[in-house]
Amino acid sequence: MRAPDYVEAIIAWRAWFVVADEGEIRLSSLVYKNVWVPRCELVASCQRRVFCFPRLWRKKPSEHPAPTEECRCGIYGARDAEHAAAYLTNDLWRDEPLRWPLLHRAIGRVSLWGSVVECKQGWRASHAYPERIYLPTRSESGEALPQLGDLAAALSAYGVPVKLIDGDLSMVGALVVALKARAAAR
Amino acid sequence: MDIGEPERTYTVEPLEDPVPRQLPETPAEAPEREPAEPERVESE
Repeated sequence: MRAPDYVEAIIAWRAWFVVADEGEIRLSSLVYKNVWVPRCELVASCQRRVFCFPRLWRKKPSEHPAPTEECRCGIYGARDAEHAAAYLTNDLWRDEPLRWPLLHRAIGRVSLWGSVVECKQGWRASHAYPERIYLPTRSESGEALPQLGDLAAALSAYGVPVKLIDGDLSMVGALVVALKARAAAR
Repeated sequence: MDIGEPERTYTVEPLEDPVPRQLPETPAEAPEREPAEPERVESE
């Protein structure tokens, strides 16, 4: 048995989709089809698929524990709010189509723990759970979202603070300023 | 998300659970039973 290197979870920044999953409003990862279950940690698995020799047209799931330094797997968190906010509206890198109706996008802080790979601008971890959720008050087009209060109430199922943040999804810089002001006011 | 190249790997075991777990519902208190009558036995 080995003693842990640290005894406090790492707090990082990340962005989520807010989706409707079987009638429940949930957070979803941006890249892979992972819904974050309230009051239950998300546990990483490597979702990379590798060629299966000798039938190279077949691919099988990678079987190593996530994360490793050699792979890119794990649950991601960024050091800076700016970095996470840049992913709020950029969908170009999404790995697969979204499975659920997209209601909104959220940014927030995430607790990371377990096995953790520290990278230059963030971390990849084996375990994660939201620490704080911020919902921008306006969509990418700048329109106010009428159902925002309902979304915030539904996301309170995660048992962590859910805050509305006055900002427009497309204006990442202004959003980050507002985020930092909220974080400093805690 | 591009977070750059890996630098090191370590283990983190938080002393406090980062997950606000659902508190288990307290089971309904069992109804108090009347103490059973002591069984009468013939004295020797």
